[in-house]
Amino acid sequence: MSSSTKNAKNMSFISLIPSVWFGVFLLFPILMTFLMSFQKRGTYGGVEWVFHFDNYIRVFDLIYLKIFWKSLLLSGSTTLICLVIAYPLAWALVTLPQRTRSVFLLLLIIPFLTNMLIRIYALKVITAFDGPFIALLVQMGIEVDRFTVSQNIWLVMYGMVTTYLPYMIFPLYAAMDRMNFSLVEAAQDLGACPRHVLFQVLVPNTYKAAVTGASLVFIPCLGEYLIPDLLGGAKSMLMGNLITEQFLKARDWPFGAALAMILIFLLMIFIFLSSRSKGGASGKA
Amino acid sequence: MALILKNIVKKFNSQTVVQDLSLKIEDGEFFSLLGPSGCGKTTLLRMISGFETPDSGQILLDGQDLTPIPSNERPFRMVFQSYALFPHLTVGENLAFGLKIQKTPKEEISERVENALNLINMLDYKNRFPETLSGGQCQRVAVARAFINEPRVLLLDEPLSALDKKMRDHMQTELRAIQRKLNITFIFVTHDQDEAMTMSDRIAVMERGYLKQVSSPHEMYSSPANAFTASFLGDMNVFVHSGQKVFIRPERTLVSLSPMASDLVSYSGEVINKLFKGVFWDVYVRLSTGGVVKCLVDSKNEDMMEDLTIGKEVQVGYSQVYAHVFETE
Ligand SMILES: Nc1ncnc2c1ncn2[C@@H]1O[C@H](COP(=O)(O)OP(=O)(O)O)[C@@H](O)[C@H]1O
Ligand SMILES: [Mg+2]
Repeated sequence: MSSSTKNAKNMSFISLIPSVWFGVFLLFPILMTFLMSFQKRGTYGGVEWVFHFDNYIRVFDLIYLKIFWKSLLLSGSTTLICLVIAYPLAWALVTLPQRTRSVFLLLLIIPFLTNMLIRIYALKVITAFDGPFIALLVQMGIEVDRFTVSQNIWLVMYGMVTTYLPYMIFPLYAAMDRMNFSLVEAAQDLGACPRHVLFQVLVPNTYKAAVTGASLVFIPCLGEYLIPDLLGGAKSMLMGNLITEQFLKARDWPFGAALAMILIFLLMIFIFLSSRSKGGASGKA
Repeated sequence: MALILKNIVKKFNSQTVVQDLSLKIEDGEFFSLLGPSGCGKTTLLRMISGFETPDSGQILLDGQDLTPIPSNERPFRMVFQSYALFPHLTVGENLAFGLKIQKTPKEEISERVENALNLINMLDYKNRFPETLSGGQCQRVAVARAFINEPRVLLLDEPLSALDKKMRDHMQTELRAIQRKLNITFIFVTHDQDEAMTMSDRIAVMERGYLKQVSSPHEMYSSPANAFTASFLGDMNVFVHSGQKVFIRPERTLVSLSPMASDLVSYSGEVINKLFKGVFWDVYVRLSTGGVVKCLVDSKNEDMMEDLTIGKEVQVGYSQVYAHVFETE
């Protein structure tokens, strides 16, 4: 009896750690940011303690709205591309024999575990102004504008897709692996053609994993600032870059805070929608 | 009008799993494929359904070669060992799956689904999801989903092996009843000889890819064609008589405290165990020539059973009429 209460005490102490962590490193900074977003930029940087909504009003400037829209578009298309690539890839993986499968999984995991900065820098070097990619194009006699090729939105998208693709593949792979393969055979046996099998058996049974994968790709993409910075240069400023810039260069912390709050708000909407669509699916399955 | 398998050979890598197998299955037959685990039953069934392609040989339905026809166009339906019910669909939707693909009109679908559910006594379960059903119910839904398209042949791969004994006995009767009602061919795979015996019109016994014997349960039991079928189907005692193995069913093996009649072949032995089974006693006797045999003694024979104590010297014998002797293979 006494040992069990002691145990319970220990347990409650242990379970306190994540709450404290959560409070100190997540809730508190968000609260700070939230408060700061209503303040005013100091003349020499820093913050002036007043309460106003000017920062939020400024966000509705066309320049910023365009950046928001571009970020949403880029993250959305990255997510979509990842889904389109990952779905057949995950399927191919689960239908491979066990041994070859491990090899391919390893090939996916190694770049995934390689530091993102290194990977993106490598890509930057390869496609740089005077890098090997452009040299190759020139060698092949293709006339290019060096500046457009070395830094553009497509490169940013390429970087984003390669970085976040594994986040889409792994949940899909896990779901397909868990799925009883005889369901596919059963569908074929009942007369289903490959399209039927895909849309009436595979998709409904892996739908939740796809939503999970989409969240895992979309959410970090929307806040991404490193990839657009390194591969897109000044031309592809996204929300993440805008916020970083406010804090580090423009020294307008309150405006940066307001932008950050809006980003968080957008993400919360997305998370809410995705968890609702998952809940809806589980109600049916 | 029949399903004919002609000289089917199937290899996986270098291992031959089905060896030059020929079979004819009649319309409306309840046909069982019986054999120990790994003998190639599932592979044979998957070749019939079109999931595997034979390396050589033909599968003919009413004289038409099925080899080039993909599985989704063959008039067969498979009942999977794991049931393979679609977890995201209700029982009713599972049954309707095949009909919808065939673009059956809506009213007809719902009518046929109702009929099928009625046949398996599960009308109230139409809107339930598979995960809320018991094993036996899943089993029945899987069977109904297969027969609702009115296939020519239903292929069942050990459909009862995941059920507990009581449910299995019940489902044996139920499946047989469904088959009689629908009057379609059932090809039923099992490794359980009792199951094959109670359910089938005919049984095909397989061993390591070879077809050992095809006949009715009664014929297979009373006149097995080889040593493998003899000992695989039901119990067999093995005696050695003038250097040859002689197979005798326990119910044809006699035990006695006094010497046997002269027209019987007899051996002396010692009772080593007796088990009461209700209608019969199983009496185990170790022969003085070596080996243990089992004899059945009617439990009405109370006086005799009292004398047959463990350790008692007895005579065991059989009539040549019931002896099965096979060429050694
Ligand atoms: N896809 C496959 N690849 C390789 N070997 C297989 C495959 N399917 C079955 N086998 C082998 O074929 C033999 C027969 O298997 P199977 O038909 O499943 O037997 P049963 O159903 O009678 O238990 C087994 O030795 C099994 O290992
Ligand atoms: Mg099998």
